[in-house]
Amino acid sequence: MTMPSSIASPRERDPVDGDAGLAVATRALSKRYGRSTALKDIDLRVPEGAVYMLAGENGAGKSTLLRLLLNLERPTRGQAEVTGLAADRHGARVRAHVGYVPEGFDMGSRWMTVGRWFAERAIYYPNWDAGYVATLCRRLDIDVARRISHLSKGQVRRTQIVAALAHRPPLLLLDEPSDGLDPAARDTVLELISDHLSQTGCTILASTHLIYELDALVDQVGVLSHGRLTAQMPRDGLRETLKSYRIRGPQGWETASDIPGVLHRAQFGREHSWVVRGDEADVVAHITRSGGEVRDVATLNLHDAVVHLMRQGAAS
Amino acid sequence: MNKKIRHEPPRAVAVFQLHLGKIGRILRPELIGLALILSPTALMALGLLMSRDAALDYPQELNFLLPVGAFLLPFRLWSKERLFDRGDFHLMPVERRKHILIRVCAGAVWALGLAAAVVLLFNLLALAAGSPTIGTGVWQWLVPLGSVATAYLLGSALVVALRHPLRWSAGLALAFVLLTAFDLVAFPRPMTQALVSGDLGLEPVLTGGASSAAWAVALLFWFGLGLTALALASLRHREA
Repeated sequence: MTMPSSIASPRERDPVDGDAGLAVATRALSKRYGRSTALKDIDLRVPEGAVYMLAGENGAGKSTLLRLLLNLERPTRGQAEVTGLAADRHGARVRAHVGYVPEGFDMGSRWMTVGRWFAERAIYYPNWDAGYVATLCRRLDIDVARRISHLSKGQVRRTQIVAALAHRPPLLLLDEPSDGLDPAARDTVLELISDHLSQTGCTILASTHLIYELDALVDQVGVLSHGRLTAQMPRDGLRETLKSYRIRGPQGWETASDIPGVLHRAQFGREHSWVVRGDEADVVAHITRSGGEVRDVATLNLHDAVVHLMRQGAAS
Repeated sequence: MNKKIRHEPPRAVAVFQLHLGKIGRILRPELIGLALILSPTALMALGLLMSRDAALDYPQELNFLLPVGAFLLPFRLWSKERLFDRGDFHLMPVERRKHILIRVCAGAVWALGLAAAVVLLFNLLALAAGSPTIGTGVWQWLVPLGSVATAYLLGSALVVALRHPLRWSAGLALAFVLLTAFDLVAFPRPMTQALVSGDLGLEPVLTGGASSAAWAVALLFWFGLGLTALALASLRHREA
């Protein structure tokens, strides 16, 4: 009996336990280049059907992590399982399951036309949907008769995005997908990805440092900082646990240092503004006990929440 | 829903056919150049034949020129593929080592096809002129193809093994020439002799040697060496 390719047989599965329902799962994944550590002990968990935003500052290791998932590089330590397949043992099959938009703008043979480049891709991906490609090209205004060497950065990125979607993969790995795009093209690409998501129910793992771009789609967030995954949670969880507190303290009130999870402190006279990660009731109780009066508690938008987490990661 | 779609790597045959076509497009300038050189040659030869005063022997120099071209061919074929970087070639859903070997095979078809065409052309001209051809034995017709295949394998092994194969090759060749010219290092004479004109040397592979048996043994040795070198070189790109 043949199995659907999106479900790996037990033999092919990595011995990472408790990963049912995960499109991507890594355990203690680490990568070193000589003496420098690019990634350390990454335990990434991307649920099937999720839109997972991997945020992090430049050089945090986002692109390296995506390349490890595709077995384009070998990890120094740890394991990665992608769509139920061990990435190190089934690299080719993993790549067949994935639509990947790489960080760079290299499209290989620069003498080719975009149409020829797509035709080559169609051979590598037996499920390539030429009709879908034509539709995407129209929407993204891609001229398939144009030579790759004559494409601008934005046009290359649009072409790469079409190629990633064309075989309707169960997992999209997007590395800075909007890099090089003008605002109009950026909106169109996000629309396309959104449509693709609703049509296919695929999983998306997108790395970016422009958080606001994926705001409308994201339901899972991970923050990479200096090669470490410093936060990973559902968006709702982020909303629940990361809040901004407006506090009024008595004259000369010393901010209580024993309150855990404070990511940001600002003071304007007797008004204090904190961003704290933790249970709201606990945080309010802590502040009240130390003499402060919580005037207002507000949830943060995705951008602010992730930026605070990134700063915390960088500081730690 | 895409989960019901099978997402499998492509068949090796399909990838092979793709590379066969792609290499043809890569080599288009060289093919045009070759046609431009060979067409006037053939026309001139035909003109001489018409005037019936031609002696058009098969040029034995081809037995050296063709392997040299075959050795250099992989440098041309892989020059844009960024084998050691994060190029587009690596992103494809084919096991990297297998992918490389498929492309090497496609290149071999081109190398052998072109060599066969050139050998055939000059032999046909020689036949038409009543001049000596490459030889009377079938094996003698296979000599240039054997040397081309071997040279192509050795060139491919270098390109697949080294990040900067051209620099390494040119550097080694230059070092050899300089060391020899200035008598800085005396390479052991028996060694160089064995390598060039010995029973298992390059000469029998290129020229056919004294007999078909001598040629076959030398060819087997060098062809095996090429295959082994390529297999080892490709290990650098294995995934698992």
